[in-house]
Amino acid sequence: MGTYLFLLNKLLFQNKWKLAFTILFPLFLLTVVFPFATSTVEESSIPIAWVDQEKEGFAETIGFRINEDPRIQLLHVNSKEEAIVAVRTGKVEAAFILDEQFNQHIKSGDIRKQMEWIRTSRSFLDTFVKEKVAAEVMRFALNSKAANDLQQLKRNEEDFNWEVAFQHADQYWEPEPLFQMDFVPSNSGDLEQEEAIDNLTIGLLGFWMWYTWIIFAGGLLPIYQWKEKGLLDRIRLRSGSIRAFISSFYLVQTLFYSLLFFLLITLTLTSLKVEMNAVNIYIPAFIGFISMLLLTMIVNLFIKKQSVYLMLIIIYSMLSFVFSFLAISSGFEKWWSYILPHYWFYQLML
Amino acid sequence: MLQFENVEKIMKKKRIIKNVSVQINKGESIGIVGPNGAGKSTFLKILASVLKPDSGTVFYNGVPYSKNVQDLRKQIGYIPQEIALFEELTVKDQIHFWKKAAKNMGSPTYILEMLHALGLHHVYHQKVKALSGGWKRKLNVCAGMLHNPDIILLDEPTAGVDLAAKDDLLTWLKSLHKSGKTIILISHEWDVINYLSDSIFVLQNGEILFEGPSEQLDQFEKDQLDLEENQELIKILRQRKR
Ligand SMILES: Nc1ncnc2c1ncn2[C@@H]1O[C@H](COP(=O)(O)OP(=O)(O)OP(=O)(O)O)[C@@H](O)[C@H]1O
Ligand SMILES: [Mg+2]
Repeated sequence: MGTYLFLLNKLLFQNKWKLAFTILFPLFLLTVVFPFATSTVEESSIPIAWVDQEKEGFAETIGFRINEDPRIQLLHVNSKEEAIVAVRTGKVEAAFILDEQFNQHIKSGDIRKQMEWIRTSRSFLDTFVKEKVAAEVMRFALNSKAANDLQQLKRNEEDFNWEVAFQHADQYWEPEPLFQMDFVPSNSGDLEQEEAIDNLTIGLLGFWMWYTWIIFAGGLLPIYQWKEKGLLDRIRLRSGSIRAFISSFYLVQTLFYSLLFFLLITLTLTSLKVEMNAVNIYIPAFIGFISMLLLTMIVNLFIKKQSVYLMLIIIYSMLSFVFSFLAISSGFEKWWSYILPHYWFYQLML
Repeated sequence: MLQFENVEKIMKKKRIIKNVSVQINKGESIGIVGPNGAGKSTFLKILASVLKPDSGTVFYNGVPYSKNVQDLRKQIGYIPQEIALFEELTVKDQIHFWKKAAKNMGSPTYILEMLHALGLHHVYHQKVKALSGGWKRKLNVCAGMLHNPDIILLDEPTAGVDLAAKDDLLTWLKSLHKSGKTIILISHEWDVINYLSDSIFVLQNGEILFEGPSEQLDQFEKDQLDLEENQELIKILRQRKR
């Protein structure tokens, strides 16, 4: 056995490039392609063009507060024309243009036509920004209104200070707006989101199983070449039987590809921050994976022609991956789903 | 010592070996000749226990192979016509592997002697896939004989080997034969057969037409062969006098 392990280690892991590719390709998918494809609303910020000619007072403060939100990224431009170009070219989702005398108008309670909102039919996430801008403007407008009214009432008193009145009114906004609608958080929303993550995770885990399956099947091909060249006959003559050799070969391959598969699963779970109990994933994965390995080895042992073996495995593995996913995500089940290793994996996991 | 009794081998519905009965004694050196596709390699494979006959029996020391094949395999060294080597290994690792794979091993002096007879120490650290065809053939011979077998079966061991190396190989085989080992060799080269073999088997279409010393071949050709029917074989046999 030791002799065979020594040999197989030398034979199977000689080609360093192939080995590196086998491992680096999924890591590349996982770290580069995948996060890009699944970047969600929370992860990316919305670019917004912002035109503020005064650059002081309320206008400046609003711009500053909006920009504090990590989901919004303000792009300060100098004119309406520049803002339009930015929206047209898709550089920003939308643009907001503050009136040239924004500060003065808001202060005097004139909130009509103080801000222009430019968007295209493709703009989508900017409504969220609009609400936020409106809330900020409203805050200044109401404070000003309060201070103005107070000034009107106390117009005869010498020591009236408009600024103090404004600050006093602003207290009603901090730390939370006084008249804020109280939305009661509901758990059902969280549940739905968790399920969405699961579907994604399931697809990805299934894909890794398919990937390991295909390269594992390819890893068993040398048997055909060794047989063809008379190497198996030679081993049989020399050591009396090829059983130990063949089992060592399957053992080495099984260990290597199991390691690869569980590494991929672990990396995927950590990078997706899946909340699910890991045991609920690893045990089904183990069962699905082992049955996949066994089935492939049986096909490898009993199918004498290399091309037939390859065709069978490719069709079988594709079927397993695609149909099991359909079965789980849309209830497309058939009695023969049970001969698919992916199906056992999914069934046990969910 | 080795004996075929009415052995038949059928592959793909074709009779490759047809009812062959023959006897090989201990210490003999036999050369097998015959046209391509005659069944020479198949005959040798059955003798080596790589293939099983479809009917008939092969005996080793009077006992059928089915009863004592493990004993036989310890005593037999079979060199296939194909290069049966792991291409990714170095010559050193290759020899190490085949040494370990065998239950019984030749003595270190024997192995050293063989390596030098074949000149393999010159390419000891090279990978097999980087070797030329001749070197591969020599290593192929070496890999089958590491256990110092008493019965040596060789299927075209000198094909593609250069003249110097061929001379070394033949000299060494001759010395093995002199030390009492049984040699059965297939070759298309008469100089090899003439040098090594005391006795010749002529195979055609799965039948052994002749067995005996080469001196009797003239008589056989005259008596048994038809100029029309056995054109190919006659051409082959006439080459031996060139
Ligand atoms: N595995 C096989 N399946 C089917 N037919 C085979 C097989 N191996 C050999 N044959 C056929 O058996 C016949 C004899 O083959 P064999 O290799 O024994 O010939 P040979 O005398 O060694 O020829 P050569 O001089 O070319 O080596 C050939 O017709 C060959 O096509
Ligand atoms: Mg042959």
